[in-house]
Order: sequence, then structure tokens, then C-alpha cells
Amino acid sequence: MTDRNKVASLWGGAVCIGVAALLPFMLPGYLVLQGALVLVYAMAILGLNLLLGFSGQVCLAQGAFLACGAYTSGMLCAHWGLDPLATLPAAAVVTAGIGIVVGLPALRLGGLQLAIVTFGIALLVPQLILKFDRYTKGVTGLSFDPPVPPALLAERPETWLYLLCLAAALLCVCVMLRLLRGDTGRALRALRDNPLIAESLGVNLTRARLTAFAVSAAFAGLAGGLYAVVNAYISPQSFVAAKSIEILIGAIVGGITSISGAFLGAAFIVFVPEWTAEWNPALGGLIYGACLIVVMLLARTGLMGVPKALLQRLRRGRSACTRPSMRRSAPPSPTPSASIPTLRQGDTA
Amino acid sequence: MKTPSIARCALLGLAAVLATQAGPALAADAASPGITDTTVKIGVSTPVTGPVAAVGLIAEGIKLRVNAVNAAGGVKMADGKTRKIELTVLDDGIDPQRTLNNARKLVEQTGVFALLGTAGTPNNQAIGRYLAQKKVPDLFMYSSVHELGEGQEWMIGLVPSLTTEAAVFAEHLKMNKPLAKVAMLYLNTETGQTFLAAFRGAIEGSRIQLVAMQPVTAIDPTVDTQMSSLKASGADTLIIVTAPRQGAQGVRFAAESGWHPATMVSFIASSVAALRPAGLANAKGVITSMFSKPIDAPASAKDPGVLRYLADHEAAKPRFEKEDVIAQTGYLTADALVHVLEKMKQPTREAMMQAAQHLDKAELGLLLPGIQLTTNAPGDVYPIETLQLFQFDGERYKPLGGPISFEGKTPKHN
Repeated sequence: MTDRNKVASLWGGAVCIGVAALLPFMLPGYLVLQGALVLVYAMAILGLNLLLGFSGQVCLAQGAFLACGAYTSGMLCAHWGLDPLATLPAAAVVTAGIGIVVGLPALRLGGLQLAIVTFGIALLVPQLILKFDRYTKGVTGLSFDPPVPPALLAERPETWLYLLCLAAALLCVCVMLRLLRGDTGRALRALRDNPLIAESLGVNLTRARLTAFAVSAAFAGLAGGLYAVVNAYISPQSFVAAKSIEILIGAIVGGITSISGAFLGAAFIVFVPEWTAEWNPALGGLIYGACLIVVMLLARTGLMGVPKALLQRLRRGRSACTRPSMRRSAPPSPTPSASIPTLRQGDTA
Repeated sequence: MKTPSIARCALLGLAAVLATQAGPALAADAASPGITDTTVKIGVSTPVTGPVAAVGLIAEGIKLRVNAVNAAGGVKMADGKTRKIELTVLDDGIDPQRTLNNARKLVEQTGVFALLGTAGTPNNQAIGRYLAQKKVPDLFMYSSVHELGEGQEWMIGLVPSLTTEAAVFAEHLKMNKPLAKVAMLYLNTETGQTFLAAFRGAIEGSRIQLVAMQPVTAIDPTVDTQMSSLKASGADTLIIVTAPRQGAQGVRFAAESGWHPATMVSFIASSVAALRPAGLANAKGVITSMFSKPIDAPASAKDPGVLRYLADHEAAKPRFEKEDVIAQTGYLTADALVHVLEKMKQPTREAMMQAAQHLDKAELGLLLPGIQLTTNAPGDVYPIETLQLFQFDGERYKPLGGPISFEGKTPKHN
């Protein structure tokens, strides 16, 4: 990354954060809460991006991690009466632990087998919540008091919740950037691109894989904790296995190697199904499905890849005008050859 | 060279969100939001998609009645004005989090006057606190557990509490089978547990024994294990309080295993359509409780309430069969709404709750003769507390005795 680009991204990031922080003061309450929900999903998607996009580990259990975080927070609040905010670190830590356990099979399994194992976890967790109804209160769900906002925001509790989510999301982004730009990031990418060579170069694959799982789960756990705090109520019906698929859709739609894409993907899975259902209640699901197909056809590397691809094409077009011979050999877009396409795109955006 | 910055992309996305969402925000008047001199806005959140999409028919039933009422000019309310009902239905896929989102959207964006027929116990639980905070009625929710944790003063149910049904079942046994040994198959949720606790309370002091009980979850593929151990208990009476699919499985097992106990099935699982998978011959003799008229019964052929329902159904051609019990409950819910609107002396939400919590023998077209809506908050928040037992004869349900009333005596939960 050149210095100029670095400065540009820094400015871009700062503007985004500023806009995101001001948003709740301009929107009606229910939209602010939906914004908070977008941030929550964005954190879970960030975690998934770390696994899927940067380490090449397919994980379909992100919804289950979300549930673990939510129930850790929820049970601590409802049974022990802890302050909801104090339970968030616990949600992240407990879920990270569970993430490591889930990551153990990843040491031996790869690709599709790992996808099925993790999807098994996604199916299993809601059942466990029902079975341990002594602690989780089963289908009835847990309700507890939301955190008390500071005096300044006493009139707008949803804004306070939103800002909490924003802070947590920023924390996740920082951790992610720190990880990816350091040795761990290089090790993870080596693991993704060619585990054999990575190992022969001295990368500790076990450690790299488990770190990825732990951090990914911790993000989802923190997101889950906030999900519980924002709604002040959780029930297993919010964490069915389809939730994991939803998060996966968000990750892929946003672009699995893009940090800003995680937020875009989260906004997609929160708002688009709702819009299509409002447009036509009976055909909502159908329109949403069609939307997904169209998005994937037009933006193979995720929505964040679109502006990049457009610019590339524009530049190529320009150079092709001067040198027509280039035109034929120019590849349409970065088409990867790995078993899971789109895994080998560039770096963080 | 310049790459597309995060800022620009995010701003684009943001602009899109703002453009489509922020437009019609909060146009409602603060004094009495959602009601004008000619209209009243009502919101419904219900699962149109997802695992229990069949429950979404509650909204279809509501629509059927509301459209008919609007076509006839609207509701003449007690303040002298006639208003049409504007209905907004949102899908929540039975996810309580989405129900909360929908409730907020309906209140803050659509600007509804009240919510109607919200389906699911956890879903009402999730929105209770919010609605109470905003002082928005959660009117005639579709949940047979009426006492939810929070926002009690702003919510009211419609379908009978399971505690009422448990009391009616116990009453029937006391009269007809005073030495019954009862086995119970119950749904392991608030619903089933409430029934179980209420039944235990109701048989106290009698010689009826509850000898075995087995929980099921809504997703158990089969109930054979549970039914085997219930059969082994030597019980002679079986009570089933489960989702429809497992109810049918239980009925079938009881008949085909040669057990043949006297079987009672809760109204949540006893519609003829629900029993059909069990084999209707196996379901012969099943006893259930009802509050709405079976529309295909000979007695209903000339009933004005049933005829009006059938005429509305014929005229609108909605996307449900006329026998559908859930849609009928939706129709009933809208009828109850119309009744409450007629009783409201002021166009305020407080007046609506006041009217709904002080119903006085309101008769609705689809309710069985002798069953009326009566409430008197805070003590009596149960509109329907009378049930009539029916027995299945292999083809249809036939009445078994008259209505059994627990008016004002519905046992509290827990």
C-alpha cells in the first residue's frame, strides 16, 4: 500500500466512523435499533471473514457462536443480575473457548467436511438451548433489564445501544487489522494459500487455525452478547440454523476479504429481506432469492468488489483504446482457481 | 492512482438506506397516534414465512373480516364517528427479535394505533416491555398463555388460557370418570407446562390421579418412546397438549398399540385437519374443547354468524380453505377488534384498553352459543373462559354436554 492510499483509507475510515456515530441522531428510533443490529451482524461477519476469507476455513457455525454469546450474556443478566455491559467480555471469552473446541476438527478436516461439521454445530446449539431449559428457560426465552443509558442519552436509550454496538464493532475492526497486518495475518494467508508450503516454512498450522477460530468466535460471541443486550430478550427461535447461513450470505455478498464489505453485507441481510417482503408479502422470499442470484452474478467478489472491478475495467478500457491488442487477452475479473472460488482475492479493503 | 475509498462506498450505501427508509418517518400526531376521524391504523406481526407459516393465516382471517367491515362503510365508534380500519401486516417468521423490530416499525414508522393478533408466546414476551413503554395496546394476542412477564396492563389475549382448558378437562373427568388414571403428553414449553400445572391444581382433592407425564419438543420426529412409557403406566385416560403433528401421532399410537384410553386433545391440536394424519378411524372418540362454531356442523347450517363468515369467504376468495381453524380465529380476532372499537368512547389508546379489559358478555358471530367475551381487569383478563366439549365420531365433532363456564375463575398461571 502506498503512502497516498494509506492516507486516503485513514481519511475514509474516519469519515465513515463519524457518519456512523452521527446517524442515530438523525434517524427514528426503530431504524437506530436496526442500525445496531447491522453492526451486530457485521461483527459476526467480520469473524467469518477472518476464517473464510483470510484462513480458508469454511465455518457454518457463526449463528451458533452468536447464540453462545447471547445466552452467556442473557443468563448472567437474568440469573445473576449482572450489569448487561459487564457480561459482554464474558460472552466474548466463553464463545472464544467454544470456538477453539469447534476448531479442533479443523486441524484434520478441511473444505466441505469442515463445512458439514460446523453446520452440525449450528443445528445442535438451538437444540441444546431447548434441552437445558432449566438455565435457558427453553422456548419461553430469557428477558432482562436493558443497560441504563448515561444521563446525556436518557431520552434516547436506542442511541446509547447503537453507540455501544459501534464501539464494539470498531474494536473488532482494530483487532482484525492488527491481526492481519502482523505475523499472524501472514501465517493465516499462507495457511489459506498453501498449507504444505506454509508448514515447511515454519508456520505453526495448529496455532494459526485455532487462533483464527478463537478470534472469529470471540467476535461472534461479542456480537451475540450485544444482540441480547439490544433486544433485552432472547429465545432459541432467534438462533435457528438458518441464521448461520444468513451470516454466510452476508459475508459473501459483502466480499469475504473485505472489512468494509462486512458492514455492507450485514446491511444487506438486515434490510433487503425486509424490503422485498414489504414490496410483496407473498413473494418476498422469491424476490430475495432472485436478488441473491443477481448480486452474485454481477458481483462475484462481493459488493465491495464492484467499485474496484468497475475502476479496473475503466482503466483497462482506456488503455485498450490506445493499444487494441491488449483487449483480447484482458481477463474479465480476477477469477481464482482454488477449490472455493473468491478465496484468493486481494487484501483488506 | 486512486482506489475507491471505504468512505465513498459507505456513503453510497448510507444514502441508499436513508433515501428508502427515512422518508415516511413519524408523521403521526402525538395526541392520538394512528387514529383520525375517518381511519384507525392497526398493525399485525405474524409468521407469514418460516417454520410455522401456517400460523400466518391468522392475518388472512383478520384481513377477511376487516375488508368486509370496510366495504360496509367502517366501524361506528362510541364517539359518534365512523372509521375504516387500515391494516398493516408484517412478517416475523416467528423470530421474537423480528417481532420486536416489526412492533417498533409499526409504532414509529407506520404510526399504528394498536397491534392486533400478534402470534406466539415468546413473541409477545419480546414486545411487552416496548409496547408498555410506548403505551400501545397489544390487543387480542394469539397466545394461550396470557400472563407474560412485562407490559401486562397493555396486553390482552383472546383464545382461552390453557389453564381454563385444563380446568374444563378436569371438570369433565370429575363428572364422568371420577377414578380416572391420567397420562399426559405435553409440549415442553410455557404452553404445555402451564397446562400441566393447571391440571394438577384442578384435580387436587379429587380421586383422579395423574400417573404419568411425558414431555415432547415441537421438533421431535416421533413420540413413540414417550407414548410407550405412558401406556406402560397403566393409565386409562390420555391427555394430549402438543403441536398438531405430535397430537396426531399420539392419537394414532394410542389406538394402534391396542391401548385405547379415553383420549382428550387440547384445542391447539384437535382440528379435523390436524387429526387426519392419525387416520380418522383412530381418532374416533377423541374429546376436545372448543370455543368457535364448527362451521360444517348441521347446527351451523342456518347460524347467522357462520353464514356471514361463509359469505365473506365466498366474496373475498382468500388464500385459505374455509375450514381452516387458525384463519377462523383470525376472523374472530377482527370481530373482537370491531366490538372494542364500537365500545370506545374516545379515540385514545387508553380507551381501547379500557374497553378491551372491561368487556361485558360480547357475542361474536363465530363463538359457540353460550360463550361470550367478558373481562374485568385487573382480576379477569381472560376474554373467553367458557368452553364446550366435543367428541369426534369418525367424521366430525359432536357436542358433548353444554358449555362449561369458568367465568372469573380462570386459575392464575404458576
